[in-house]
Amino acid sequence: MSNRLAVAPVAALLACLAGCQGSSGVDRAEQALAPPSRPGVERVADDGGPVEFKKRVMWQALRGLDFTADGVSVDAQLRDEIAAGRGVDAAAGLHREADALLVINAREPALGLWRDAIVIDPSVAAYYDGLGRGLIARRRDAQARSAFATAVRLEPADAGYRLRLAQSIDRLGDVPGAMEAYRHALALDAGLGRAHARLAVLSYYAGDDAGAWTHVRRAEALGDAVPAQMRRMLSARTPAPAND
Amino acid sequence: MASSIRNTACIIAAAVAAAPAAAQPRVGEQVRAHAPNFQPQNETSIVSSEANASRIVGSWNDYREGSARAGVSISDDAGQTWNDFLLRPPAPFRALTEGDPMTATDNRDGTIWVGAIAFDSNGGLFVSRLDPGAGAFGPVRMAALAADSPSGFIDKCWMAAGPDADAPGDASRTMLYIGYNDGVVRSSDRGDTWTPPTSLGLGLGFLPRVDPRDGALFVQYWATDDRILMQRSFDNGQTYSGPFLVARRMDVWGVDGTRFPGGFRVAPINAFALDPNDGTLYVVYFDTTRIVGANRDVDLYFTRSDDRGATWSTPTIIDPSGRADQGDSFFPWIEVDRSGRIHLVYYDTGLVSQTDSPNPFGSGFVDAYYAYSDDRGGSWTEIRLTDTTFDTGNDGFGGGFIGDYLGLSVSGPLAMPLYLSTEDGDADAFVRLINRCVADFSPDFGVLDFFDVSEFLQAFNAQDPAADLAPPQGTFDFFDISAYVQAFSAGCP
Repeated sequence: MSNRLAVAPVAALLACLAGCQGSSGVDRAEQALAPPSRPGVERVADDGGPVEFKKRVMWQALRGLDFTADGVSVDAQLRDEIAAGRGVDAAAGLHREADALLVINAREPALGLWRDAIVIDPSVAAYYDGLGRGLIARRRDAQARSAFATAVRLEPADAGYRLRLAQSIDRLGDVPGAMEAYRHALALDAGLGRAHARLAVLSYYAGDDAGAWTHVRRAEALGDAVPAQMRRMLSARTPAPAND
Repeated sequence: MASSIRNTACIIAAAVAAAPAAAQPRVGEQVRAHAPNFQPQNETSIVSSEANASRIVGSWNDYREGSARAGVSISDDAGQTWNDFLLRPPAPFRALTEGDPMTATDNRDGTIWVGAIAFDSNGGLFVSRLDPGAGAFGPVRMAALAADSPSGFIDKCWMAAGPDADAPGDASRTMLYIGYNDGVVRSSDRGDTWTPPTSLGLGLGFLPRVDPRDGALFVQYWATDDRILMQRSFDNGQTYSGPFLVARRMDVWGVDGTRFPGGFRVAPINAFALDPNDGTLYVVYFDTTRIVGANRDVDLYFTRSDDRGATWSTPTIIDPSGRADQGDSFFPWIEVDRSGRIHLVYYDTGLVSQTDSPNPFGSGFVDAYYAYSDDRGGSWTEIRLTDTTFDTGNDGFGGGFIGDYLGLSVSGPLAMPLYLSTEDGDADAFVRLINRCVADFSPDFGVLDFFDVSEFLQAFNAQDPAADLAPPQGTFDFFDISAYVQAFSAGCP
């Protein structure tokens, strides 16, 4: 034990010298649960993609798309290769096929199909929405936000796209941004019970118990439950208004 | 020494009618479950069997070769000593990255299985069996291939074993299940051959449990949105009913760890256990209770089903030491023993004042805890496992990865949490033996005899804290002996 204690810091230093240069830790965007490679172990394949399988699968599925805070854009260099002369009907078919794959948790192939559909026809909001749903399932929340933002930009009156954009912002931990986005969705469709349910939780987190109760009531009236434990904790902190 | 023991023994006769026995289980020394090396071990799974409580098998991601492998370790003395090795799939199926360990046992005969994933297009799920009485694991079998996977990518798996639902009384018939992102595969020949997966739909962390009374299969998972779901099968995994809503989360995130101190990733996947006595189902998960400034207070939540998963109680916070407001609790694992006691292992950051970190690197300060409940989760008693708070910055990944979960085994009166700590300078896997048989002092754990009395008396005379069974702590007196006598008389639970 004493030898070990003495040697451990030296070993850690040597390990860092061997592999830690420039490392900023594990890539949090790589959201599979497979164990990550250690810093310095990762390698690049001949085609420029990662060697590590889990990263390669996602790299192949999303290759050709650029994700920024403003939205998703198509890499022009890869457009011809991926589109390969396929028309808009083919894109619609890929979209349907991707939806079917996502239902059985085949996220990566679904993402690849939505990527292809977007490259073929980048004007269809539903393809970005599908891409976002696939990215949420793969727990790539920041990229999902980009995809939903693009869907909203293409069809700003669609409440469903607005709702999913809000949910992606919510997952990223931006409470004010998420609340604003949920309100935008409700402005388009006051019947979105899920938006009220999330606003109830976020209002509770923000200490706005009156607001939380308002959204609890509206969500429940629309048939969407709020988390039962939140309702109980809210009741303990602030009893339900008399008309609840 | 012999005279001293005789004198002490005389006191025992007078002590029988004294103070009640200590309720706290005996907690063993912290033991590293593998040979020392300077590469990380993380993400643990551990199993032991009612048929042989002394045999324990642990598993983890092991980076001793640089890339991740499945590390496996066997103990035949209830975790006091270990022999570890790397479990690899057959050569054609090996991958750059292997890991995500899983373990299972059939409590009726003590068979143990361990497995993991080879993460490559030629890889897949691999499993090996340790037969009762055997000294080593048998051949490694492939349970599912990435090449056949609907998703093309096999991710997080867990395993469970139990009776064949068609003949639950036939101890020679075992069903073995693995839940993973493609669904559930099953084996009726003890892991030699496997069916294709039955999809359970969108989700992550598909954790199966088998009711030993009738072979019913329950699979709990995170739907990747705000729902925790469960599906069940009463025909050996051929068809499923559900999904049933276990709980709706308050806070949802992907795998990032920005709601926690340090840079490590935190996947919100859940723990799930079944009471072998009455079939009660339990789920423990972690969720944000409140937001204070820029910090999220993450706690453990507990919920129970008394109707085989159809309905669940309103989740309650597990807060055995009143520390819930002081830090974050995460990575729970639960098991239920044959007496109905619920055992829990988890991490907590509350002993060090620290803030959530937006950065994917750097230090967080964490302790591992064990807790148990004898009233179906109504109250909990907590025991700290780590000797010292450990620094996640020493995880071998620049602070970015301490695994995604912990493990815990139960068998007879014994429980054994398997957890990561970096307190020796790098990430190692440690265990402690938790023995609820308070009078059980000799190494043949689970059996009470003369040797236990002898060992207790020696410990008492040496003023070993292990013999300090009754308050006031730090004194060795009549009440400690009385507590021992009562515990011995009560026998092992």
